[in-house]
Amino acid sequence: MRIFLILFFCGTIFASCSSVIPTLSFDNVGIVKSNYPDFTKEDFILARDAFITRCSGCHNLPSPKTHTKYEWKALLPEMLNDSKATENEKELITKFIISFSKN
Amino acid sequence: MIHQKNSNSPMLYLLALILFAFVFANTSISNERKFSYTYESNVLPKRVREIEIWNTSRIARSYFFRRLDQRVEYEIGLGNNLQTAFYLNLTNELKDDNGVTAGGSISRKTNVGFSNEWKYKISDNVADPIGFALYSEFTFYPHETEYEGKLLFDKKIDNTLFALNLVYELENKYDFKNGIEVKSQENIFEIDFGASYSFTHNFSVGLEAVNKNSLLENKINNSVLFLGPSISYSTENFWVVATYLPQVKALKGATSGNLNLNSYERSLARILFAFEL
Repeated sequence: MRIFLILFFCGTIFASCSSVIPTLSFDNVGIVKSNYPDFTKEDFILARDAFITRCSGCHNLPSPKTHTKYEWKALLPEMLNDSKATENEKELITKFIISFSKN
Repeated sequence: MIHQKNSNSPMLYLLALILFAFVFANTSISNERKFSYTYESNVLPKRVREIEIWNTSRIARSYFFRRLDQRVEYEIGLGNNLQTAFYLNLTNELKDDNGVTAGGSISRKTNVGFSNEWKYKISDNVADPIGFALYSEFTFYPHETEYEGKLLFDKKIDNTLFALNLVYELENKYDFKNGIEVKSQENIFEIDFGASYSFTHNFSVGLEAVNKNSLLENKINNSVLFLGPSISYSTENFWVVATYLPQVKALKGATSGNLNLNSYERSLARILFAFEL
């Protein structure tokens, strides 16, 4: 069993070097703002938090880069309804994911 | 000779609850799991509810032993990374009532119990360096109470999910012999580990390991390792996960070759089926 513990902690330390979910930074807020000019730093914090809370409740979080913005626009409405997200959360999550989606 | 200790009415309760769940189920995906023994850190979002149906078989000891544990779980997301769940538990056990001593007869026991679970997520397995959650469960049977505390760690790296649980369980058992109530206590420490690879967004295959340790006066009395495959599949309507765990080694207290078949089974198997309400 010791080998499992060692593998688990080595793997997670290795994985902790970067997150596939964009974190709060001047550049990242700017990326969302380029699509949605009214989007603020506070919106970014709320959007990221809502994305983590709502989406991880049903499945492990995907990277926004797993789909194009057109694919996300087709996928998101039903999933966000299932997650019982509020209208404001749905809007923020959609803007957040689409801004970091695959080109 | 068969001793029937309870009626079949618990089975009717279970069937009624499953029928109720199907009637009120809709067609959305819920909090899918990749393992059936090892827990992950994710919790249901606020207002989301889910039904999970558990079946666990525990078969073959050094004497005749067969047991089926069935649970129906109603899980609710409370928001702020907190969820709770209520379980109806049903166990059916068929065994040689002399245990390891030859010459016994077959006895059958059916028990009905209730559990309440609380889970609090502290960090996410993708967004944060490591996923972490606290888990607590209380179980009541007429002859037994159990308290279980778990530390849940997990991490998703690309298509692979790793999960590790550290579990402590305290069992109080109540018996009545020769007019006197007899109480006994058992301490169990368990380590669960799972690794699962997702071939598609809804199909995963993995490996689970369960190390069960019983403690006597703060020292490990028996320790066994179960290891086997797990498979999970999810659709928009439901998810299902199944695991088969043969006992591969007794790390302490071997009774039959390198296995402990006096206190533990030769194999465990579990299947979970779930859908959102």
